[in-house]
Amino acid sequence: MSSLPPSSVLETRDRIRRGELSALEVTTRALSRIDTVNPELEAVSQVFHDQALAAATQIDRRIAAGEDPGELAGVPFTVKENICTLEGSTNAASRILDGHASPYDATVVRRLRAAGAICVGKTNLDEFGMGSSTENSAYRVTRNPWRTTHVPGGSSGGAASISAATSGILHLGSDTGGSIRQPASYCGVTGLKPTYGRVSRFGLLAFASSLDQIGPLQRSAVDCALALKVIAGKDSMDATSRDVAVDDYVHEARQGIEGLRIGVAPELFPDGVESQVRERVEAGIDVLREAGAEVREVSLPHARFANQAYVLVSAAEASSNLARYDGVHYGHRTESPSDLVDLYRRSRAEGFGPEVKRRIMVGTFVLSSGYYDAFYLKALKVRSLIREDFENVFAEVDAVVSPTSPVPAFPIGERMDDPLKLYAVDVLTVPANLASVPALSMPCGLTSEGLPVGMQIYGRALADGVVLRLANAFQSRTGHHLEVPPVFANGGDGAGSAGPAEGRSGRESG
Amino acid sequence: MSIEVTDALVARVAILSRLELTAQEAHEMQGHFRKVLQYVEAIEELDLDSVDPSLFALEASNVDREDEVAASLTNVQALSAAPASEPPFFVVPRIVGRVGDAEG
Repeated sequence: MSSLPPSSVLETRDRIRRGELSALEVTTRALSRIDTVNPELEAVSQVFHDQALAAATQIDRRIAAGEDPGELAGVPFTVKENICTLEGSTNAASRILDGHASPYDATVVRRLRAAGAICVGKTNLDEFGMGSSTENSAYRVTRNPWRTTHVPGGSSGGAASISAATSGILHLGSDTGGSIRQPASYCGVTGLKPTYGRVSRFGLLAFASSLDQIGPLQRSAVDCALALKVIAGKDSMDATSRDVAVDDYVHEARQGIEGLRIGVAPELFPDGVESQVRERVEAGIDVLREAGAEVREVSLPHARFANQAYVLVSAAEASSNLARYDGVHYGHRTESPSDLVDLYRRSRAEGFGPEVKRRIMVGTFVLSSGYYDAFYLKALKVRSLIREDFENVFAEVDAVVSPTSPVPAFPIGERMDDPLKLYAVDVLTVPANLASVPALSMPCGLTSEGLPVGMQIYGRALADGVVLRLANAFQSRTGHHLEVPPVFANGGDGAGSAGPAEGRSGRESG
Repeated sequence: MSIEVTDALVARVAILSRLELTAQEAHEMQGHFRKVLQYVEAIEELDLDSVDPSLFALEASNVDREDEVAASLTNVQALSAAPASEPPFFVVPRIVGRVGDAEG
């Protein structure tokens, strides 16, 4: 067994292909690494030791028989707890789905398995994806590997946290208003929210169907590209999945950025952005300029209304989507209900956490008779204005760069007293969901307190490849994405640990 | 639009939401509603009269396809996640009266 573990998903894949590592070795190391770091991070909610080792053995057998087991043969992966898997449970970090076993795999999981990847576990989240700190999980509070007193961001906080503390594992999260990008930013990893419709949502427990999208959280843009290439594409089970050819995103990510035009919008650098965040992102923009991109100022005049529209639209859709949790079809059911409505009301009251109840209530209110026009309809109109803003800007430039979050990771508990304080950290990410465009967050340096700062790249709809190109160009010239949390740099058993030296060995060449 | 967030309004929305709230939860929800309504007030400064709402996340039109038989979950599989079932049915409290029961 090699003592030097592979550090990127791409390298892991290639080494298995070349016969330097077996799927079983890679999977064993991934499981061992998760077992080592997870007690402190509480990022992974379920680990599938037996099933993963059996699947890896199967892949090795197929390789030995001369078969091609697929693009990701032997690569371990995790999915967020709101993505259905046949293994274990799919509870969306909610009591209402305690022990819920899905009778099917999500399409993304099916595609990963078909490509030979191996499911090793599931990651924690804010209940049903509603939150920005992963503190709203009904089961556990996930910690930030850079500072374990701090939140990992959310709602894909489990995926971001474990991605930062491991290597060579593919991680899928979901993003409704920033739930991939903001935790990626807080944990110093690269997270991509693909174009709406690029990836099938079948088997993703719906939060807000017009905003939700599944995407990867990895150390590098190239690994995100590899994941996207496998999970993207039309799916007959999701009518909103786009019937557009899937590019070779890995190849595309490696193209230069000479001549690409980048827009910088003052509206995405509002007053609330902390000075250190602003400085790191501005320095990051300089790197892109040096790499050949042309930078110009653009305007997104309605971006400052995006979070208001998001709060209304996402709550409205959530109230409708979560009506299915009724004590009849899935999950928790109250004891001895007096009638059907009592069954609904008490099952839901007992099963949902406080933030989910708040969103259902607000959503029901804005859709209710007499208030629909005043709130929901107006929010949809604001959404139109935001979409127009992006259409106008993308007539001039190929991408827009901004901070991902106005602030770096904050201490656990700091924003739990007031939900509105927590909503405020989404202000720079929600425009991408409202406009249905792709956006990525990648690390661009640390604050003086040693916390990662994320830089965000927005692209045109279906130009996910351009976003990945810019990110890879940046990562080819800088080492921010290879920095690992100090506590986990020489991690425990050395199995799959990503120390700086190992990290650099996996650095992608431009 | 200025709205008074009364106890009755919260109670009505809780009924529509099919959520039983404790008195404490209802009280907190009232405070939350006030904060959210205050927060979203910012959009009032926009002139939205001539703006069309974004009813869909992307432009798409209906596509016809052949009606082909394909594998799907069996009845038993589909019921497997239900807290109470008697295949092929979900079990719910009685919603219609028995013959001879009093009206209502």
